[in-house]
Amino acid sequence: MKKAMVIAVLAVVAVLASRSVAADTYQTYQEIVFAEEDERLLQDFAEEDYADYMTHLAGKKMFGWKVFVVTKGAEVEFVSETKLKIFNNGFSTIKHDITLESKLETKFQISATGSIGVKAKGDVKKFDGALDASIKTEIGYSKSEVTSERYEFNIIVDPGTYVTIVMRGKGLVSNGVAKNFFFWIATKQGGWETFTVTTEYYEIIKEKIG
Amino acid sequence: MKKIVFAVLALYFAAAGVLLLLDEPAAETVRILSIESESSFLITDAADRLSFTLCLDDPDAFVADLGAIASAALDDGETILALTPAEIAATGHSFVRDGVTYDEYRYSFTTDGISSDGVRLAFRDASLVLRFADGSTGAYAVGDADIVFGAPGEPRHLDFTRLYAVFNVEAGREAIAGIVIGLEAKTGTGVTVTDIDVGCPGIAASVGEVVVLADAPPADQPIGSFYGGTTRSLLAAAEPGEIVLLDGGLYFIPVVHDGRIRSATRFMILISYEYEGGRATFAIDDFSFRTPFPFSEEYGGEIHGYEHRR
Repeated sequence: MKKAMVIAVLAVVAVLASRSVAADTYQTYQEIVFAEEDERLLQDFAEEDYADYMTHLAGKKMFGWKVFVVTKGAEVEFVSETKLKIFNNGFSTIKHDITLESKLETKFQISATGSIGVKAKGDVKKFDGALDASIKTEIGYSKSEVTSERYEFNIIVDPGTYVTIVMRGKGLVSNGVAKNFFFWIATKQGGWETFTVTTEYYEIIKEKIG
Repeated sequence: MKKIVFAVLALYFAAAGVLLLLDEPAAETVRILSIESESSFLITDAADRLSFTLCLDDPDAFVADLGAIASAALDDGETILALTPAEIAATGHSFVRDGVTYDEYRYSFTTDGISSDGVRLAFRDASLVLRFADGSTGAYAVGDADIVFGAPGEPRHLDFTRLYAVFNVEAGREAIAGIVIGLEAKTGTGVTVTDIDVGCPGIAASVGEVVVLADAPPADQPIGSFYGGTTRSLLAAAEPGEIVLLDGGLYFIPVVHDGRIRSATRFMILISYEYEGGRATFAIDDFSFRTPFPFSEEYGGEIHGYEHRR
C-alpha cells in the first residue's frame, strides 16, 4: 500500500514538474513588443513571478480548473517570420505569381507550459478539456471558426536578386496560469497564453544576392 | 408498466421536437448588405482575381453558395465586365445593422477569357450583378472600381526595391497616409517620375510632397513628422511634382483622400515617367498593404440593403 502511495505521489509530482512548452506560430515571430513595458510573454515569465502567480490558485477545488489571468488583452506589435523569399540565381528575369493567404486559425494562436495540453482539432487549436472554455470566458474570446482570405500578387525578379515579403502586425496577448483538480488533488498545472492577430501589414523588399 | 410507456413516449416526442427544430428549413429570403467603396485591380492574367464584399444575414443562404451563381458581371450602366465566380469566403467578421447580424463574405472572381492589355476600365457607382441558377438576379452596389489590364514590372527602365504603406489614425479611423517606396533607375542615365497613380478612386498620391528617406520609417509614423512635426490632414489637396531618379532612393509619398477618409488597403501602383524624351508607365500589381478593414459605416461609404427571395 505504501509503495502504491509513493508511486502515485511521484506520478503527480512528475506531472506538475513537467515544463514542456506547446508552442504556436507566434513564438517564431522575429520580434514582439508590448505597448506597456511591464507586460511579458508566457515564455518570459521569471520563475519567481510564475511561483507568485501560482499562489493565486492556492485554494483547493473538488473538480475542474482554477484560472488566474496575469495579462488580459495586452496590445502588442510584432514582426512575423518572413512570409516568402524568392531567389533568382539564374541569368534571366523570372515572373512569379505569389498567392498570399491569411487564415483565421493563424490569427488566434495559443501555447501552454507545464502539464497543460494543447489539442489541434482540424485547423483549430484548443487548450485541453474544459480549460479552453474557462480561459475564453476569462478573456472574453468567442470566435473559433476557420476562414481564409487569399489573393495573388504578380512580380518580376531580376537575375541576382531576391524578393522577400515580410508581415508585420498588431495583436492582443492574454496569459496566466491554471490548475486542474480531481477530488481536491491537483492533477495538472501550468501557464497558458493566447495570441490574437488583429491586423497584418505587408511589405515587399527586393535585394541583391550576396 | 404504464409509467414506462409514458416515459418512452415522452422521450420520443422530446427527441422528435429537437430533431424538427434542428431540421428547420433554410429561410426563403436572405438579407444582403453591400457598401460603396473603392477598388483597384491590375489584371495580369486570366487567373488573377478581383473581389468585392457582401454581408449576408444567413450563412446557409444560397447566395453564399458558389455553385448557385450561374454568371456574374460588374456593371455601371456604361461598361460591363463579365466575371467568372472563383471563391466565396467568409472573412470571420460580422456586422450588426437594425438589430440584424450579418456575416461578411468576400466574393472573388476572375476575368477569365478577357484580355485587353493596357486598357483601364473605370467603373463609377458600379453594381456587382449575380445571376443565380434558379433564374433570379441580384445587383449589389459596390462603388467605384478601376481595373487595368497589364503586365507588372514592365517596361524595364525602372524597378521598385521596397514597398509598404504608412497608416495613420484620423478622426478615429485608421487610413492610408502614404507609401514608402524604394525606386531604382535601370537605364544608367536616369528617369524622371512625373506621376504616381494608386489606381484607387478617391485616393491620389501627392508626388509634389515626396520626402527622400535615409531610413525606412515605422508603418504607423504620423504623417506630420515627415514634414517637421506639423499637423497634416489626410484630406489635404494633392500636389503634382517630379522625382528625378539618377540611380535610386527610398521615398515617402503621401496620399490624399478626396472629400472623406477612404478605407482602401489593396491597390495597384502605376508610375508614369519620362526617359530619353519618351513617356511610359511602370505597373506594380495590386498589393494588399494591410488586412482589409471590416465592413463598417465609419468610412462614410453608402450602405445598401437588399432582400433576395429564393
